[in-house]
Amino acid sequence: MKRDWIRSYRQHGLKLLMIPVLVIILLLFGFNQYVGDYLTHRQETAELTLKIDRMRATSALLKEDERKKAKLMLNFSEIQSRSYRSPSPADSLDQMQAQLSTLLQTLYFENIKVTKLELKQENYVMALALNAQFSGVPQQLPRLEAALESDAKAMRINAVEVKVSDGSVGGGSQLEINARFVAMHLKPDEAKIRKP
Amino acid sequence: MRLNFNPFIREQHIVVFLGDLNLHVAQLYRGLFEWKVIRDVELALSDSSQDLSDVENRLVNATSTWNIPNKTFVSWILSPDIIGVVNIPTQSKLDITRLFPFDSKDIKSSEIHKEFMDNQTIFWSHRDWINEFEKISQQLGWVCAELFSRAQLFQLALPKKLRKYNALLEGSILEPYLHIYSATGSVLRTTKCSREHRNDINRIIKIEIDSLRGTVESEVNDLSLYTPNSSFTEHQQSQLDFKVEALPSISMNNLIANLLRSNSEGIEIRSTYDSIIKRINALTLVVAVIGIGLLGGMVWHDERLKQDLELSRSQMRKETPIFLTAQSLRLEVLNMSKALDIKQEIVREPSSFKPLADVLSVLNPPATLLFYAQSGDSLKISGIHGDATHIKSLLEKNSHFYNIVITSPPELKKERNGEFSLDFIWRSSGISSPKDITQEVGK
Repeated sequence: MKRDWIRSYRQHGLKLLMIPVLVIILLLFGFNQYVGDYLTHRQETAELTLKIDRMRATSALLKEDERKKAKLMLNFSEIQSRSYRSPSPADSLDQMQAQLSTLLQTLYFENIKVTKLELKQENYVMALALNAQFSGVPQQLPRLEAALESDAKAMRINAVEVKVSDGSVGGGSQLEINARFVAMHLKPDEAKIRKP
Repeated sequence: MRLNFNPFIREQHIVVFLGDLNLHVAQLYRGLFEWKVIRDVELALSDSSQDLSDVENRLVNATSTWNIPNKTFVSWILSPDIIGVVNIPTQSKLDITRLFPFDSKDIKSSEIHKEFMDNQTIFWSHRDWINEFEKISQQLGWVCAELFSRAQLFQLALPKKLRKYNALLEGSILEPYLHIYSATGSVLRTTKCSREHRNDINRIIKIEIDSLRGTVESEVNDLSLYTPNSSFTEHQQSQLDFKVEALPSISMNNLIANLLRSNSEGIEIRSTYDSIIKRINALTLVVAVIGIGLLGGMVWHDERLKQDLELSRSQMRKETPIFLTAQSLRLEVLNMSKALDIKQEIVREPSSFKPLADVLSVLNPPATLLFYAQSGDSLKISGIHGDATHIKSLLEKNSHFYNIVITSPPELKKERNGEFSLDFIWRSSGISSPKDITQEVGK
């Protein structure tokens, strides 16, 4: 076989490979012209098909979501009316802090110190929490609870620490109270309720 | 239009090795990369090896069942008395035609390269011989392509590292063939030792080497002697002045296949490289057809994709309003659901003052509560003027408390009179009034 190649090269030189090389160059040129656009169109088609599939999957849930919404509406309306509603959770937390400070002052608690707990993330719907330190007498505690229950915003204490601060034993004991207050934040736009 | 698929049909080649008393015929086909032997036969010849009609008859009988296509190329490997060797030194200005014993028109030789830089070996044969082998080939329905010297067959069996002169003895012990090769492996001399001279190989080698050197030297030191036949080694070692090295055993089929694969050139009678050109052209045609097909397919598919894209975009525009409504509703439902979950999570933990009221309802004077802590369901109380065991028994009687454990009291007051401290869990199975808190805390 080598012998044949040598003899054919001797006879024809590089002319032998001229046509194959020309054909390959022309094919490469043709592919180079079209392949870029072709691959782009393929990718675009695949992406668009996927997008439409996702859209249709979401649209298919419309009826079911309307039913779910109607079902959740009753409980949610109550939450909605008693939640802090601001564009950001930080604003809601500020409102809650101000409201709690006012409430404690109104109930004649002393040494009030309300601390905001750090917001780890910001969501459209989320729980807000504050830490409050204040002092008072035992008779003030039922009034605090009654005030919280009747408050427009559903603020709630879910952890408390009570210490008797003076040495006296009797009805006039001074209490040091450390409590965690929680409430809910809703972003107004997202919490917008439409009729199902 | 008729397409010629011949370049893709398995190409065949016949090689006939003509020995003194035997004939080795091999049928080869061209694989993807190299020639392969598919059939071979060893035929005995009558004593008169010059009788080529006997060769023809035996070939006809032996190959009648081999399905050899008509006009298959055949190469002959022939002895030195049919194919001679002439060695031309580098860039020699000799008149080459004077090196042959016959007139140049009466002989045919292998290709002569005028610009060749190395020593050049030229094989030649008288046209009468060539006509004979062409005639036999034609009678068999084949086409005589090339005549090779017997020395060329063993050329490729030599080791890679060679000395300046390398002799090779092969054939029968009675009338061996002697081939001499250069350091590059090219054939310098090839001759047959007759019965009369078979015991005088030392002298023949010396004469040949001296003729190559152009001077007469008493010693031949730059020569290696090889043989593929082990019987030579044993039989003639004692008679030779040179050490004989045995070559690794190689079958005749491998030697023939190696010769056909190699670039070693014999006397070319018909060019065989046309099939390469046809193959290249056919392969180019196939590549072009496949390439154009792929290119056309790609262009066609690209048009389809463009139409699909347009259609998809139109569908998307149509479905977007419904999707946006559904997406908004989905988000709304998810947020509502999440809000309800968060509310559940918040109210799951008891309101702090209810457990405190329950604790105070259990404690009786003079026990005084000085510390109360609640986190979830877990409560911790500490106080003075009480007995921890007694308080524990009182708590156990109340259905709101369980898992009651007496713990070490913290340092609340300087006075240590009746200190107590307990940890326990509260559950809201009973409801106590918040008003009790005022009566009990600080008692």
